[in-house]
Amino acid sequence: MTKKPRKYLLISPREPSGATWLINCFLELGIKTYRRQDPDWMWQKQEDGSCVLNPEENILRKWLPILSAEKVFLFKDDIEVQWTHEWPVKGYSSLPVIYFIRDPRDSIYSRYKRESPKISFADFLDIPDAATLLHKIDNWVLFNLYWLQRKNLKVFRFEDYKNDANNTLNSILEYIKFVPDPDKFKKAIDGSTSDKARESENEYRKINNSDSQVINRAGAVSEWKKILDREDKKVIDKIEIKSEKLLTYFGYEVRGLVSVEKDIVIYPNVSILPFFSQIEFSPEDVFQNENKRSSTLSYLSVFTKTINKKWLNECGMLPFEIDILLNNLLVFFQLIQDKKKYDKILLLKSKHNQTEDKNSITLNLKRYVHSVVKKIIKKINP
Amino acid sequence: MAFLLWITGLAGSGKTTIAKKVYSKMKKKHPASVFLDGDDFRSIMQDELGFDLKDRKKNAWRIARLCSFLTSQGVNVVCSTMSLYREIHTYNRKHNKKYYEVFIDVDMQELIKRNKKGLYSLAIKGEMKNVTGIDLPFDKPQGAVVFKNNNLKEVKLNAEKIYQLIK
Repeated sequence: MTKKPRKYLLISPREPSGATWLINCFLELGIKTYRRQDPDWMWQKQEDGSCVLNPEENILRKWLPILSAEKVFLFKDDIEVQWTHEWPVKGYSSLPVIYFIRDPRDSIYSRYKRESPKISFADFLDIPDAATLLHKIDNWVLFNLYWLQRKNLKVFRFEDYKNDANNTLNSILEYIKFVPDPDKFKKAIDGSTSDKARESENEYRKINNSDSQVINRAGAVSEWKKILDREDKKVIDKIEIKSEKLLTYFGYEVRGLVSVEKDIVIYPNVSILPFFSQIEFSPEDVFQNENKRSSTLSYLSVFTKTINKKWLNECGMLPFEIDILLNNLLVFFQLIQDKKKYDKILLLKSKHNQTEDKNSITLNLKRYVHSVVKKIIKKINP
Repeated sequence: MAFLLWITGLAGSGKTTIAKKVYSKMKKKHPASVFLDGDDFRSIMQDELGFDLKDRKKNAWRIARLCSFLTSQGVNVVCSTMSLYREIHTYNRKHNKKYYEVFIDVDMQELIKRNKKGLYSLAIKGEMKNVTGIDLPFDKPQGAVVFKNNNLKEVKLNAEKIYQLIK
């Protein structure tokens, strides 16, 4: 009888936190690591017991150098790791957690540079998170506060990996009780560097030239200290003030900044947001030691006033994310019975869908023409 | 020995409706009983207290002290009040020999639906201030018997359950 593998969760916030370094190391070491609940979806089993990557997951080659270096994987059968950026929603797995974190002053800035460098940093953060409807700083703070409610969780930091990758990987492997083969350990470290990741991303982009989003940027520690723009610096200060307790908890430097905005350190009241009724912990569990949970959600009304079709085109969000955001705003305004804003979002949504339909028709037409041209060429030059 | 039945919950949770039902049944068995409602108490006092956190706590302290005074005189008290502050719950536990705490826990989404005056909706939009549960924090009572999402159909049943608790 085959023994069931012991499983772990690898959790990191959505902001770039360097967890792909660890995923790449795991794969190098033969640890089956996958996203989504079902490991067999990402890793398709061959008759000989080896695995190959599901072509639907090819985009991961952009993040994980090993996926370009190897085609066939032989995984250990006694351990598995699932990685995700999800919140601890009700009924979610209670597996032990490897929690991978990075200084939010760097990770949030990095997300901004990756996703929407054309708008200002402050404006980018003001766009509510599509799923939770939270301001992006609050989103980061609360994601952490919720996950830290879990008892079987151990924190590892991006900065420690950057400082001493060997030691950090060793500590993580110790936590998951995995004894590596020394040669494979060295190969894992050497094959998972930032340079390797950048090379792999460049290779990926040569084949997929329509994908222009750069994911492997500086990847440096304390990059926020080098930011020169005065407005961006103010935003960095805001991140620090809002996340000060967590920064201290994770062992990051805090400068003891004092808020100039009256309500900067007040967390929003998340119990009203529909998303949070799915979370396994109640807001009261999370905020019991925080006397700051008392802000209204008026920023959503302000945000809704500012958006229009032009904004949707320029905000840098992916169409599916805009769709989620608009849907959630609809649910929210319906819930609080604000008909005016509900109608505005409904109108925007229909315009957004029309554009999407047009785009999809154009794309399909292009694909069709392309295939016809290919066939003709083939006939001419058999 | 007289007791204090402290029924608490956010505005719109149905705490007063349920408390009245419990009281009307209890009164037959224990004539030396009073019903005290937080809103009635405010109008009896006719004073300057408002609804910010400081004044809400002040009002809660007054209610808690009055309740413990009454129970010490041998009068049973059924009290429906929001007063969701940890220090008040601790005081009640310490100063009433028999103390029952019931928390009517209703989801905010449901409270918004129930609230016809739009109290919560206005507060969420920032158009109204000092609404407990939105811009004012509260403490869920730790040792309370919890009734989840008390709706109209369940009021009678829940009142009976509470009555059985104190009988």
